[in-house]
Amino acid sequence: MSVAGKVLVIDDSELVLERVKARLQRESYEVATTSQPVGAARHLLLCDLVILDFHMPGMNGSEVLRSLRMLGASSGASPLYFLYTSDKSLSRGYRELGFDGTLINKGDDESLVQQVAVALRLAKLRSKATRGKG
Amino acid sequence: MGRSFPVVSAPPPSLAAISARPSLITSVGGSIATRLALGIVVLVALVTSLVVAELNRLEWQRMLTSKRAAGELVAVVFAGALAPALDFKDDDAVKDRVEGLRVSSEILQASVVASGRSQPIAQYRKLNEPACTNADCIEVLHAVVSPTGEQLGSVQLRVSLSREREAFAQTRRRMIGLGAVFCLGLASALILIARRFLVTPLGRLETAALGLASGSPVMVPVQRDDEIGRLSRTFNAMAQIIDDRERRIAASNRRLQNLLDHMGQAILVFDAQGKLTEEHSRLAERIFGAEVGANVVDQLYPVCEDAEMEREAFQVWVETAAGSDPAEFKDIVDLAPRSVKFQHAGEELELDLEYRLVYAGAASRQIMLLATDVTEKRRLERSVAEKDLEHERQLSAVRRLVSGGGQLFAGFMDHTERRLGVCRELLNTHQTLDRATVEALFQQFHTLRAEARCFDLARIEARVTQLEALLQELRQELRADLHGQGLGETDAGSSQELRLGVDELAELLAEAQQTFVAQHPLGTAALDLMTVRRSRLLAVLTLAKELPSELRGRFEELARRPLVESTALLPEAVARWAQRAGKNVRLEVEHNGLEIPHALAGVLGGVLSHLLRNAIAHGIETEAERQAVGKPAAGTVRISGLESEAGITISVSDDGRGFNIEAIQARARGLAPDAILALSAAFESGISTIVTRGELAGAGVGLAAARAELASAGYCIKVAATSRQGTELRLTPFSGTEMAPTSAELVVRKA
Repeated sequence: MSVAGKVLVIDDSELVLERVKARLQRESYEVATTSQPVGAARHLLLCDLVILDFHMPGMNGSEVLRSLRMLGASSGASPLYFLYTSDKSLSRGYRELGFDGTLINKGDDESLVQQVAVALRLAKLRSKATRGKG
Repeated sequence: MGRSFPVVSAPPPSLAAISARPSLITSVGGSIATRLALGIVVLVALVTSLVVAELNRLEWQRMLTSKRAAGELVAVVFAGALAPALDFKDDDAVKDRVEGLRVSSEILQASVVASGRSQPIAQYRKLNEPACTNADCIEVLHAVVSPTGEQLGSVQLRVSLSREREAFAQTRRRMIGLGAVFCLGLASALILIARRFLVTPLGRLETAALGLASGSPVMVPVQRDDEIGRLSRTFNAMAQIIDDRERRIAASNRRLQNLLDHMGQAILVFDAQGKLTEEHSRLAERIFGAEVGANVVDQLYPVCEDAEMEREAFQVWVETAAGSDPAEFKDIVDLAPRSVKFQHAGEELELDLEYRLVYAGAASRQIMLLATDVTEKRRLERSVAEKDLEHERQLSAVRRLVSGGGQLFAGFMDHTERRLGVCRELLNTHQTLDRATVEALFQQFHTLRAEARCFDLARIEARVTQLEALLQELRQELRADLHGQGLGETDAGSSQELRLGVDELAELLAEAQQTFVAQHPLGTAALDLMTVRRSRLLAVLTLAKELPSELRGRFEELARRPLVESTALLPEAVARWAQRAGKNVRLEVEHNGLEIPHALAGVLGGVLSHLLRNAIAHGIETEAERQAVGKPAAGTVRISGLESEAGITISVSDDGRGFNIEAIQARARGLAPDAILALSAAFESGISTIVTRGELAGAGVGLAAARAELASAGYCIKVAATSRQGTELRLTPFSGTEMAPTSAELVVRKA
């Protein structure tokens, strides 16, 4: 079972998106990015992991998460939603915010790669468990 | 061979002791000894009861029979006495005789009935006696017959059994008593026999079995050849086999454990719930603790905020993997963590992780985790990578310097040394630094950092950046201090740190210079070079023709170029040409710091290319051919330069097969009949000895072109030697007034 997977990154900073995309693509992940939460749901199909910024203009990450979960569920997509932040207090409360996990040390690309690998493993294991139950 | 065991020597346990203690032969209802004893007692009691009852019954029967016989005898006698009275129909006499029976205590009832009459003539019943039943008396009926044989009537007597009953009661009590004594004796005897021949040997067997179960087997003494004896013998053999097997298993386990301990891996085994089993290697115990029953997730990822996701992912993986069969496990293992950083004894370990499914059917599934400590390996890899990166940067800088003029680097060295000198002076003059000094130092470091970056000197740049950051802090402190009307000077510690930094930079600069010199073909001479425009130099040379020869010679020296400039690109090109030709060729260049005349430098690169391509195509054999004639697999082509009084000589030699004189002759169509002329023909245009024209050679223009180019620079080419062991060509200036050769000057070494 391959660990490679499809990742959707949502962040209001184009610079962050470019960096993250370039770094994750070097690891052979399929990466989609968007700075516009509205309409991001079209990327959800076949997506394994969604990485969300929290502080975004207009909507915060929690609101985007709720919207994506609803739209994803209606389209049959069930990726894991991970918060991406360097704010430790925020990352500690990821469960209360509704996220499946958190990627810490935002800005540290090497740390991001390691954490994404773990998150994708978790996503695939959860997906397998769900299929097994189905 | 099996070892000998101690023999069970304990005294045979008592029945009570055996029945009381928990044992292998104890089951619901007590021990076999108790049950045996109870069985014997019950059985003997039952049998005795039956015997006594039967004897009683027989005795009672005997008494009844005797009583009946006596009764019948009385009836006969009484009937005989009645016959005359009945014959004469004397009822009174009959009644008198019946009344006479009253004296007998045994006869309870009597009645006489005459023939033809329905009512008894006389009857008698004892007073105070109830009507007796069959159990209390016996009834005797006898006919009264006349002497002539005529039946006169009948007599009915009921005889009491009370005496017999008393006698029988006494007899029965006696028999029951005897039966009980007999039963007790027999039971005791049987129990003693059972204990001696059954219970005690079984107890010994039990003791031995318990010893065997607890890992200290003992032998059972074999005293008889009955079933118990054979069982004991079989048990001893079995215990011996088990002990041998256990010792082999223990030895095997020790070997396996030894193997595990020396595999250099921390090996853990965990079950479907993630709990560690007993199996683990010594390294695992040292790193993880590996306590039996501990959770493998906790072992790999101790609770830590930053490792929460890793913990969760691994936990889910353990649950998923534990439920998989071998086919699924191959896929699932890809989703397991393959490495982990682990804090142990205050240092961070890097472990590579592998997993193996220990599958013994669906009911028994365990996973073996093999953790390899790669901390040192990774550290070395990182160190090597960093050094490689640094080396690559340095080489990159050097390549740029070599191609762009080493004098720039030499200038940087001079400037930097001066800069560091200025910094030292500033720091030595002021133990504490004022704002002006800090600004001056900052300026020096800032410029130095920019220059170091230009030459890709990353270590120098990094160190200067640190010092610059320190100075920046000092600047800010001093600014704040001025606003606060303080002393406006830094502490001595900062000065000391900066001094150390300057010393370190001087060392780094020396290292950079050493690397540059080591890499530069001209060596330390590279530090003495400066750039001169070619057009200006040629203009000076043109004017120098009119100058005295010595002065002209000096100008020509100025125009000389390093030999290495003409050969710099050849090693890479030779490797490429050899690969295309399917050969293994190595190029060696000995430039010896030689500088060659400007005119020769202009053509030498092309000429050497022609000669090397020709050598690879014609001279150097394939690996198989070389090995067949005892040569090294790799062919060697060597270029060397030498300056003598006669001028510059460039030698190009190879260890190939030499010129094919016959082929050259044939291709030259007989223009040169002897070998020497045939060799000269090699340099004529249109002659090539290669059969198939290819990319490297075969057109027949290479050597002729080389000769023509050399001639334009005032040089000729000579075949210094050729044989089946190799060829040497020499490029030398024309001698005397000869301006262009008509043939090559040749010296042929006979093969």
